[in-house]
Amino acid sequence: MKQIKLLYFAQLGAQAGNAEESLSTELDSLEALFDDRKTAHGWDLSVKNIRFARNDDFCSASDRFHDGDVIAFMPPMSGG
Amino acid sequence: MFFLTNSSIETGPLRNELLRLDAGGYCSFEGWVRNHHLGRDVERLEYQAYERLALKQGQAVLADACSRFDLLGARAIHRTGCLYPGDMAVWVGVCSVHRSEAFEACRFIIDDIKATVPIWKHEFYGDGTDEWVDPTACHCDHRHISNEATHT
Repeated sequence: MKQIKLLYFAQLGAQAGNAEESLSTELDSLEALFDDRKTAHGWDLSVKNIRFARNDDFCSASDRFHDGDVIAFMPPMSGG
Repeated sequence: MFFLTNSSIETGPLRNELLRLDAGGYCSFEGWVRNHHLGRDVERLEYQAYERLALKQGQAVLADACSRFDLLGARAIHRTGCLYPGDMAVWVGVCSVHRSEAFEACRFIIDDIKATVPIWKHEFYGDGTDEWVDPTACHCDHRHISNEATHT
């Protein structure tokens, strides 16, 4: 079982009702983790619209994560 | 250097940081908050940033531009927090030996910031509704880069 911290930005945080979440999970990949949280929070964005970061660096949906990691889910960016 | 700020952007000092005797051209871009978006009246907006990654990625964009366009200097700054129509949301400035590189690099940097730096725009409309802007859901004829629209 891994203990991780999740960061939710923009509409993901708004729909989850929280910008951060601590989680215990046996999942391994970021894609599976996103799908799990999508079901939990009722997000309407699909994984293909999401960018991922692990410990403040971009990474891919197929990457694995580890105990103690900080994972960020990012919807399409809209700065500028 | 790439910065984030929750205060008004003052362009004078930023421009002064790029003054060099060996530079023959300077180019800047200012992105302003519009009072409308897709036919809706915009009263204000709020920018949210993933600060640690945004600073890292913004710096990477500038470094990439410096190597691609042989720049002598590059700076960019993006607002966070609450902004109103007419406020400056983002500023980019570059200097180079010749003007051509400066023009091209300035365009490259603002496009790449919009596409890759983790910042999000939350718009609040005159009818009391609000929405996180999602450029992938945009039905317009602007030019799109990756999953991002050039709407500034």
